Amino acid sequence: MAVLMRARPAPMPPATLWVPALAASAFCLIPSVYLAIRAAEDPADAVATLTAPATLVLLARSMLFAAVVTLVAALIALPLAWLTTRTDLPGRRLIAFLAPMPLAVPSYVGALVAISAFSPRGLLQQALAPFGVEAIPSIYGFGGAAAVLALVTYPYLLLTLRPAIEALDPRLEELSRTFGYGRWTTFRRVIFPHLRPALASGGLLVMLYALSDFGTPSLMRFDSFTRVIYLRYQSSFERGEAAALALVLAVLALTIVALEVASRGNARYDSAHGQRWRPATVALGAWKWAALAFVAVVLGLALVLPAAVLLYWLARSADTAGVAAGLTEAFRGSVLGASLAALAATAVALPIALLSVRHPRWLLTRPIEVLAYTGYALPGLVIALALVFVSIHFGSLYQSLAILVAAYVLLYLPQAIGAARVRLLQVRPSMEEAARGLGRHPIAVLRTITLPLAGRGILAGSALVFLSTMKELPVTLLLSPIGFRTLATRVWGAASESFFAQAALPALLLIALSAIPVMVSNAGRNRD
Amino acid sequence: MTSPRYAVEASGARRRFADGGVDDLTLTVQPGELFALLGPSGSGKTTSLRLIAGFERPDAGSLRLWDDVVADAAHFVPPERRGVGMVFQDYALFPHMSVAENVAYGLPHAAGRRTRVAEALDLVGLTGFEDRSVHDLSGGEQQRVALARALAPGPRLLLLDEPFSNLDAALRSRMRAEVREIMKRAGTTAILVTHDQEEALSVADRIAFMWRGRVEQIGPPDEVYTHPATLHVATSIGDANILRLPVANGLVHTVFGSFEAPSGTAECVLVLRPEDIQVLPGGVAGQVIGREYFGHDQVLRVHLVDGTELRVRVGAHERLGAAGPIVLGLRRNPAIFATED
Repeated sequence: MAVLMRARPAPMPPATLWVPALAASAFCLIPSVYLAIRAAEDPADAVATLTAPATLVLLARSMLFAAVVTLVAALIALPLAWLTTRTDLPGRRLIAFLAPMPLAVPSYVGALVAISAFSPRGLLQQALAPFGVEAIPSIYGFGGAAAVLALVTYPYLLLTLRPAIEALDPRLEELSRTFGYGRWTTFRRVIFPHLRPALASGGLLVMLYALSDFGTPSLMRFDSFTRVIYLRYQSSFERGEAAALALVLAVLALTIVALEVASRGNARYDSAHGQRWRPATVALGAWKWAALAFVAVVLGLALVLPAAVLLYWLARSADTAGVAAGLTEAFRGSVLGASLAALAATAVALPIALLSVRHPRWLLTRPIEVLAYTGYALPGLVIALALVFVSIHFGSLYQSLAILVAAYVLLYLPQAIGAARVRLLQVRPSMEEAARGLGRHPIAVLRTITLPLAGRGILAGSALVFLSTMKELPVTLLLSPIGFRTLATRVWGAASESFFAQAALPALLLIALSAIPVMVSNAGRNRD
Repeated sequence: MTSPRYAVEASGARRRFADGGVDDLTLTVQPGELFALLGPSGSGKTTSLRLIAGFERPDAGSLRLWDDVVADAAHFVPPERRGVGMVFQDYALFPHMSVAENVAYGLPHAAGRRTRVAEALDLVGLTGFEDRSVHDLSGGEQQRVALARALAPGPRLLLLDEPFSNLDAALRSRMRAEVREIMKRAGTTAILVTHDQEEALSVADRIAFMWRGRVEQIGPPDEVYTHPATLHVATSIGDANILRLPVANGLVHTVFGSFEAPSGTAECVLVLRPEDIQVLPGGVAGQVIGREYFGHDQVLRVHLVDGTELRVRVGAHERLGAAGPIVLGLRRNPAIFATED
């Protein structure tokens, strides 16, 4: 049956699906077209920029940076995932609940906290001063930025690794042990190969995040691609150079995506068909103290430290006038922007997800899907520059709420599609056919069967888009309508001028608001 | 009002896929009949069912339900307007609905809806299951819900796609008999798709045997079994000894005698059912070389004097060991076919 389904030549999907999907694709083409136009405008200049030694140094440094962040994130996520799923670690339910929470901490808030705590005149140095400590090693630059980013991005790896570890058949481990292989050999030869697809897809998310993150490198004074592009863009006579550099960044990001897709080609994903095996629990014994210490360091740095530092600043600033001024407005702006983005992205994602699941073999389904994943590969800064270009050249869209929301949709459409798609895949076609056989029109079938069954995935997708939009910085900075404030821009404004006290309250609010969708999507995942 | 001639009338319906499908579906189903589409996987039987249901549109040919054209080059009636009930192999129960909601799904919002749900559940013996979640049902119960849901709107035609294949052996044979009885009581015309010959033979009024996208034979179960029209039918339905033998002067010579061969072929194939061979004093001598004992009967592997090896089904009362001499004769003449290619 399944074989037959795949072999069917593709009939034209209904217009209710392909018309909106194609329209979305045309829209997703904008950034790529923009990059091509800018590069072609002044090819000699573009080539000069691209081949300048400074560009190559920048490229090498950014790649190394992304690789280091990914490696550190993996070294945090892999033990955490294993400890919370397969061991008798005390308090592992609480730890499992808390471990993904750093997702709610925007990277620039992480950077702000790190600077405030560990910079040359930061809290740590102040605390140590009475003991004669004159200076502590600088937090600024490559190392600091990489550490901060690893601590806020490891949840992406954790969330892809956890289900993969849960799906591991413990009999494979047992079998390997009966051949006389020890735990380490078993891990290397049996477990690791099974986790590779999850490591690759989670690692891809982290790597792209590290490459495209704007807030952390800027605050930590690390010259990343995004920081350099932003600085060039702001000095308006260097905008052509900014576009050329954006092109390099885009190509680099696309290369990484292509590598991950290629590596996926050989991997086989065994579906959770039939019996599920209760995973064997590993007794940690005395190792549990080492494990708990590890968890304490990670969660201490990623969760407790931000909360403590922000609360400290909040307490210090409580009596300062103007701390809360404009906060309601920023709060409203954040919620409005994120809600509109979540709604719009979900609406655009649904026809594409339905096409991908129900009409995978139609001629245009693949191209539509690939284009929809533009935002996955292109950094927010590049997408923002593209939309600035378009909105200035065509009509009066520049700095309108519509273009801002459009940019968010471009950026986070993949999250909405991915979450809806996973759920839709579980709605068997026979259910829809049974409903039609019982006399219901396809639209009624969609409403009464397909969407209710995929509802949780659609909701989780919306929650993810809401979360990402709340934390988003460069697009919001470049495209916000005049007078439109969000918590993110407020934190950024205060932090970039080192007014930590003024950043504390909006940052705490931002984390609290972001924690809700993290919990929503986490709860949905756990119930599966 | 004249009563319709046929419930289903397919002529030359074709739906091709890269690796399967139907080349020529030509058959008629009588009103009230329980009809089985039998064939190996990939023979096109499920595609045939999907054509009749309207989930596939034929590339060529035509299809009529109760004398109305539902699919041809110019017309196509979508599944929701065909009045056809369908029971899927995986039952396709809606997991977000209760048993009653599942059964009521195909009913219009009107007075008497609850009564009809109750009637349908009563028909399948699930009265009192209304508020159950479909997750809490056993395989057999899920299947009955699927059946009740398909029957509730009073379809003119019920289509069943391998409905028993997910049940264990004991439940399967009980459900077969039960479903047949429900069908007959409800007076429903039904088409059953199955790869299980025993199922088709025991349940259906008539069988269509499909092979590589074509119907090879249509007839009542006993006729298809005893008078297979093609070699595929003969070898696919029931146990058979296959003997490839040369033809000389229009005759094929065997140890059991000579038979008339089909004309124009140098070699032919004899199909001998194990139960068509019997222990016969004065018959052909052979050696028993193996025995499968089934309780109600037994199958012997016999090596004949000329080197032929045969499977012979004999009664359990025949006191024969797993080895020893035996003499055999035929109850019935073998079916003889020209060799293909």
